[in-house]
Amino acid sequence: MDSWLILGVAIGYLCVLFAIARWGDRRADAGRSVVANPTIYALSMAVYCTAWTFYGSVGRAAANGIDFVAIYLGPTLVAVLWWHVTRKMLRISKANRITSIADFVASRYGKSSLLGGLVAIISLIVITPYIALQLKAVSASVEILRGAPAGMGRGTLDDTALYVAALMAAFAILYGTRHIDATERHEGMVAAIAFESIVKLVAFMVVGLFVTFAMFAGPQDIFARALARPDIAPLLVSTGTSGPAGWITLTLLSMAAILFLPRQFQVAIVENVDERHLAKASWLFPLYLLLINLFVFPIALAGLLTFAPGSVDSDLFVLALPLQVGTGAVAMVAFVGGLSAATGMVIVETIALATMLCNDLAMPILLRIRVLGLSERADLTGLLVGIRRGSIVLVLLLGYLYFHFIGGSYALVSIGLLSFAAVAQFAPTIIGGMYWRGATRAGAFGGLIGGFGLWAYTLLLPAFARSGWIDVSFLTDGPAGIAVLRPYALFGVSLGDPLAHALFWSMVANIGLFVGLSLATRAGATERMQATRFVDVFSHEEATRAPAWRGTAQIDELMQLAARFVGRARAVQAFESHARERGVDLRRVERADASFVGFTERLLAGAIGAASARVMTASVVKGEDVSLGEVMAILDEATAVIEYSRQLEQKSKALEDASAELRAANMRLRELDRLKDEFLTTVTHELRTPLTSIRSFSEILHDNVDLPPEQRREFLSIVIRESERLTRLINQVLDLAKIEAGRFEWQITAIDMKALVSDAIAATSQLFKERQVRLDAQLPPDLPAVRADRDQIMQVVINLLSNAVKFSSPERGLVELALRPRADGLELVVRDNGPGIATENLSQVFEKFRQFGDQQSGKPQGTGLGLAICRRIVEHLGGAIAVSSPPGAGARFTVVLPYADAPRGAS
Amino acid sequence: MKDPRLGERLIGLLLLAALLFSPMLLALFARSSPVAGLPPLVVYVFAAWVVVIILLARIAHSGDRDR
Repeated sequence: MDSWLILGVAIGYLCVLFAIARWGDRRADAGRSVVANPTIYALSMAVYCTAWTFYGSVGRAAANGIDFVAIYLGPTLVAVLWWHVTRKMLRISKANRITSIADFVASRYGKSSLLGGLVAIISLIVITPYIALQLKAVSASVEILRGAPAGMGRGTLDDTALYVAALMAAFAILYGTRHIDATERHEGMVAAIAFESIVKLVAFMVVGLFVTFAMFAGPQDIFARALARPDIAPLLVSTGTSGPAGWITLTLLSMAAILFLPRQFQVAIVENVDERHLAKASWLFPLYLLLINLFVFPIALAGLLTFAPGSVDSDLFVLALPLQVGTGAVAMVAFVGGLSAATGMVIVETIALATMLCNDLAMPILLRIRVLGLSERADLTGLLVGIRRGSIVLVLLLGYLYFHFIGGSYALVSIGLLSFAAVAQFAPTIIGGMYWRGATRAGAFGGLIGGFGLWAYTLLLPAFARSGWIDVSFLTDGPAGIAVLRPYALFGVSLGDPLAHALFWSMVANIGLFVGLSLATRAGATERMQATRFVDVFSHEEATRAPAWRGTAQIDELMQLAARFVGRARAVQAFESHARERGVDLRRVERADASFVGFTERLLAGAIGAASARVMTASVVKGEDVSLGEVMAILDEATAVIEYSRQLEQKSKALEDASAELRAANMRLRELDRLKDEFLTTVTHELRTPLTSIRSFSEILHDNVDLPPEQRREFLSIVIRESERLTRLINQVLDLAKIEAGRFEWQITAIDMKALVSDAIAATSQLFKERQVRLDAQLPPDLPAVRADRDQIMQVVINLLSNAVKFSSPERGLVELALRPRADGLELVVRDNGPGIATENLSQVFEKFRQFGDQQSGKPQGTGLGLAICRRIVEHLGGAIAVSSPPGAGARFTVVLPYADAPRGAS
Repeated sequence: MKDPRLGERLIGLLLLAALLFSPMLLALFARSSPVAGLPPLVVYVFAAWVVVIILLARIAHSGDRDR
């Protein structure tokens, strides 16, 4: 096939990608995002399927049988866990503005720039061969299309890989570094990646359908022929040549890969628009994986059946099969599919790595070199963009060099699995850090270095040995001939599969050191704080928001700091929206509180990584860091203490209520007790007065037998009157005691008040006559009946009338009595024209033994219990009694009694 | 995602998927007598995969339907 045609198609395809990315970015700028839906999210996640999937799966199936599927079953298992694990990673990353795996690790373990740098370097080492693999796949596919001898040998003179790498660098620079704040999504890039995922799926299906149905008579035909061939049949009946250990290893490695590969983190976490997209994507993504694997086995078997063993590299069956029957168009479709798989991976991986290198390797170092004076530079946004772009070029250049000098010798799948095994080393540090508060920085360091070291020893060095870089005797005899240390069989034990062997030993070292060192060391202040922020991201909102800063800073200074890294406009905008959220007016406030400082730090973290952001923020904030003791106090026990103190609060509140009630009851009792004592004293006193007078008059009568008869009668009449008063007093005391104790027997009926009042007037008429007091009664006809006890109300009315007589004016005594219907009951008014009651005494007339009339006559005129009893009776019957005394108008008593039937309306 | 038992259902599905894709169960189907002209192992792997995806979709959207 013509080289120019191939190059033209490739460049044309990439131009389409540029156009889509541009469109996606424009839509994002216009606020009409194209990527904000779960389907695009799932498709972008399919960046997992690289050229390694596109070409390599077939190669692995041709060599090993069904076990290639395990690489896609792992991600399916993880998709089931998305709701638990990925959702948590999403929450954590959004809360802390995390931009990459390195940042995630650095942030979790106390914003350690050393740890972030380590992860960044490991990623670079691991991913470079992986990128080289993509370039190799592209150049090999070009070669085979051009009709060069089949196989993936080195020596591509035209160097397609270089052009492809250059174009991809251009793409990554244009669409991957538009924003400085990496938490802002690259929507154009995501749109392009989703498009690529569709292209590679469709292309692979087209080739699969073509091979299965055009070249063969359906899948049954292929399988029947394969079963008939003794050299191919075993592939169909075994779970892979590496046995169960190999199968499990592949599954576990791919599970780690889908979570921790930098590009997967980029599309799944950083580019995520909405957490809810996880639900639909969690089954769409496995479905995509299933579909793209559907024809792998048929194509692999078809290749084995079509070509003589060894004549065509099985990694390239996808291209070689259509070419074999002369269908250039299908081969071109396959080429575009492979190209899309390779470019998608390279673009996302490069952008992810560039962010990581910039934020977690370059910036921490540059900011620490004082000679450069970066800390003083006013605007660093240009520098940041420059570093990112430089990193993209560097990553692609490294990938190209790796491909150019080493890449020719090793099958596609092996390089990919090498990377997977290295990425799996992040699992203990990250998963442990997300679920175990006790994981410490030392543990993370030890685990990563130990695991990565053993990975290098058991997989990377052997790969070099097989490429001829190191003497092969390193593999066969061990280093310096020490057989126990052979990299594929440490301590003389080989698990039958180098990968399983490497995974086992690297994980022993990794998990062992991670757990062991975490248990042996103590976490620092920032680390504990971050541990809680990560582990408890779903709960303890309060605890996770505990202030990380104790000192304060000027808002201006913070804003300037942010502006240097994210640009003036964005910094101002971010500060204003944060101030609005918290209801603070930026112009009025000068000093930033801990929350504002924390916000600035997170804003910076998005641009320069967690570790550098902490250092830069610390340069502005005055005052100490939060000490370890404080953090422990805040966080470690926060969970328990918050819960405990809430319970305590509830209990003490209940106790307080109870004791307040008790106090009130006690006071009431004391008051009652005091009243009882007072009552007894008063009663005794009141009883003694008439008794004394009876006794003294009786003694006079007894001792002086010769008293004149008139005087004797007068004295006797005093004795009689005083005895009557004594009897009345005792009766009233008994009545009052009965009413107060609730033992009084009430006979409540409907009463005609007019008749009752008339009876009362008749009963007191003698009194009125004696005192020559006029009674003016107004008793309107047709009054409604009231609900009361007849005898008691009679007592009340008589009491009021006799009081009125007693206190009315001695010369022209007048008592007015009136009955009036009111809304709330029937009103009885008794009024005299006496001197009235002094205002200060008004409130006390209804109390026991209060007599205010004595001043005039100098002698008690009643028992002092009458009005008290009246009030008890009226109140018991549901009515009300009141007194008023306008100056110079006498006293006026008002009794209101409820109606016998339902109360009337307000009219 | 409003289903209150979503979390435990997903864990259950994970256990089921791990069982379905375990080497032990795969070994049961590693035989050469074809099923409808197709090798039983291949048919089993893809069938189990489809079952897991369908269950996953049902669980993931169970909350949506309730609403």
